[in-house]
Amino acid sequence: MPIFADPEGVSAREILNFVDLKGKRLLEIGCGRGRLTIPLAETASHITAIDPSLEDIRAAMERTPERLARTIEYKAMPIEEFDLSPGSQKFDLILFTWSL
Amino acid sequence: MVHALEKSGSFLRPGGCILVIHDLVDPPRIEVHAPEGEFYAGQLLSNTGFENQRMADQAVDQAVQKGVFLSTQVQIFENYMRADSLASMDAWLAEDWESAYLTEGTRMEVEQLVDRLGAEAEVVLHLISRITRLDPIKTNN
Repeated sequence: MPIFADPEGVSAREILNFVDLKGKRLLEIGCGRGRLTIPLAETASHITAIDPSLEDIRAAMERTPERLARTIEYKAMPIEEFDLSPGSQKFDLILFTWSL
Repeated sequence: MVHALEKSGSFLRPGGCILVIHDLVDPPRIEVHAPEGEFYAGQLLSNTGFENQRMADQAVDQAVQKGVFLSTQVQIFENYMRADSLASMDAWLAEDWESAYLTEGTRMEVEQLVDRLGAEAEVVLHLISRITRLDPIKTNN
């Protein structure tokens, strides 16, 4: 399907204008197919990216470059089911991307 | 929705913040872009009256009114969905935005513009989005 969401990357730049993501841990809620996850992973130290759609999570994983694969942890689940596993670190930024 | 915001606040480190991005409630523009220029064709309409966008606005407002978060920064910005044809835009809408539709008048306008502007014409959804920064309000509890 030849359609491109925000090919200019305006949304990612707006986020980076709000927060310095360098070395930060990010929880993205509603990551979809990784439209913002992938560009933000260039700067953040770690991203947990969740979305209720397993199909979208699979598409995001396929689109993720190998060099960023260790930075991003994808999970197919809604925010209602998400919880921090014991001992895991909290986040510096939580991002709701068109998901409220 | 406001519950999702409140719950997510418990995952933040001290000094952390939440960013919420959502589209404005106003109908987005449908345009055709080509080397010759950018041409307005109509609006994308929604049979739910953009209820999701309205609810996102309300959730942010409620979280602030409840004293859970402080809204510390807001920015409105434009962004685009670019399709190579009206059929591609239709396919994306059917998959990702089921409540949205184009009127017959808008569809005809798009098709006429694409015919006139040729192979380089793009069918563009011109979105206006809001990004809001929410900082947790510290309590002594």
